[in-house]
Amino acid sequence: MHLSDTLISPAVAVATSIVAAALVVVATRKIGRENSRATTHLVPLMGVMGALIFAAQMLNFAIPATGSSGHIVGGVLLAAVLGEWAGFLTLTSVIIVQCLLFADGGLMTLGCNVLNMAALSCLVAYPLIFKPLIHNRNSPSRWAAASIATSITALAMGALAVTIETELSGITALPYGRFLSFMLPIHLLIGVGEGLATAAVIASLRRYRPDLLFDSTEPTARPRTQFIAITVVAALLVASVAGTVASSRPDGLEWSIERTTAGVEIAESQSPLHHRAARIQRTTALLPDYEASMAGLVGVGATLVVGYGLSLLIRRR
Amino acid sequence: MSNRLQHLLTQLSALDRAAPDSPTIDPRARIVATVVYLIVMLSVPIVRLSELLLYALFPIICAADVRIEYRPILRQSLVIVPFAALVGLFNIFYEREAVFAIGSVVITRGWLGFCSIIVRAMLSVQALLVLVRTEGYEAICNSLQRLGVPAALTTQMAMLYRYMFVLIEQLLSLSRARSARSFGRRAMPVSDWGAIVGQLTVRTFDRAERISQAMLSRGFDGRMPALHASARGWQWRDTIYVAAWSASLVACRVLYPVERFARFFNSL
Repeated sequence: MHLSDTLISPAVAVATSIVAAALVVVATRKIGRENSRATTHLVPLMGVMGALIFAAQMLNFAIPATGSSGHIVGGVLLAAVLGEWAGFLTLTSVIIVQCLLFADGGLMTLGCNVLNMAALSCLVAYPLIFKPLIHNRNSPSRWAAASIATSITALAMGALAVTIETELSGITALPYGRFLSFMLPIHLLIGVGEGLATAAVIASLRRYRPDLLFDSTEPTARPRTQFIAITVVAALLVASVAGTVASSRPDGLEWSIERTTAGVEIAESQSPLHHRAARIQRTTALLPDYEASMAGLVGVGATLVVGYGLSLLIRRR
Repeated sequence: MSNRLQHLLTQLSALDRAAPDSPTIDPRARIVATVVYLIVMLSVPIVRLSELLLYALFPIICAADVRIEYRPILRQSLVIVPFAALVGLFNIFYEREAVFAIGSVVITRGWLGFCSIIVRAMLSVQALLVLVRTEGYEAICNSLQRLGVPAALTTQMAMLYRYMFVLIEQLLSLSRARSARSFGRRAMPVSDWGAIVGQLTVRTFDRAERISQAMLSRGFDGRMPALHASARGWQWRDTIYVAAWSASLVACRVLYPVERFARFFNSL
């Protein structure tokens, strides 16, 4: 998931860095605002937890039924132990160290990597999925299900973000939909692995030191805000999957044209007029070559409508 | 697995030993120059491969400047090539317009893009490696703090680095114990992995508790004091260093010296 400098344009690098820096500042404020005694305890704890994630990433585990092995990103685990903002800051420091010491992800893509990995997992997936799923329901299977669902969401969103950032940079010629159709299935699988690993660590923590984990009786966001937020996240995911499917299967008409004209250039396309028209169309189209993401947008729209309908039903009860 | 962890430890301690005690140029100046370099280099259009190659001079000169051998850095930057090539491969398939021909071999836009993506990846890694080798990790943390990065993050980076060695060593002994008890089974099932990392987490917490007590009893107030009390301030030569690099990099970017030279050469 580490994005390398080579795929990113300076504009995207600067923009994402600004957003990431703003989040870091917010995180330091949030941590500082808690009383100073908690902070002085939190600093060494964050330090060793970061080192722990780092070390745990070096130790690969077998991914069931594939014969390959993977390592953990650790966002959900950090958030579950330290809370959202401290977890975010800790994972950010891990990403910086990976960049500086191991050239894992570049200096210019730090912003992208912090957003894709730390922000999406600790600040989006964790509070929106993990916390509500755990809230006041303290069974082992709950914790496992929450870890897996949160990890899958975080990684899928990360993959989506990588695709968007790469596409906006325009360095690779790979079309958006095609790229997403490579990234998404891989990261869904990685998400399952990450989820299982997180669940395994959390299970062993629950056994030995349950006091260390996030307090499940702590109040979470209001149910309706939560519901809307979950719907939006789910809609984005569904949209990206829809976009992938749409792009990997050209529609029937296109396919049949391809078949009937296989190897034969359509004579018309050679005419200069057609060429000019095509060029004009290319320059005027706001989003050339974005059929896949159009399908995605339609997907978001449809899902939002369904979600809103559901919320109306719930409100009536 | 243990080999990998041990290799990592030796690499890190080698890095620490290599860092100089008294820098000639302020680390902040080098960080700024590297960022300028990366922005300029990454903004070169990917079809201008010949221009891009010129930017290889920056890591070479910077390495020579601080008496670091360039060859190990080049070798280390090769690690990223397979990844970059995998991504760059698609440019070959999607951009088939011919740009020029060498004899009967036609070079397409896609091939130029492919090579550019690899060169960009290698150069950005090299610039970063030279920077870290020159300054060492702690100096970079200190300088980042003096450049305005929040103290909470730089303290966190320093703490992380400090405990990384301890935890890697502990994990090394845990994983050695596991492999001693599971002869012939190389892959680690997730359940074992979870138990090991869970154990490590519990021990880590106890350790954090002890560390925090020790730090508090020595007057820790939530932020790390700067080590080596930042030996020297910003000097004129640091300004000149940054200005000279920025000016020459921007000039390279704007004037396209390689293409000019090629055109001049052709016109002879």
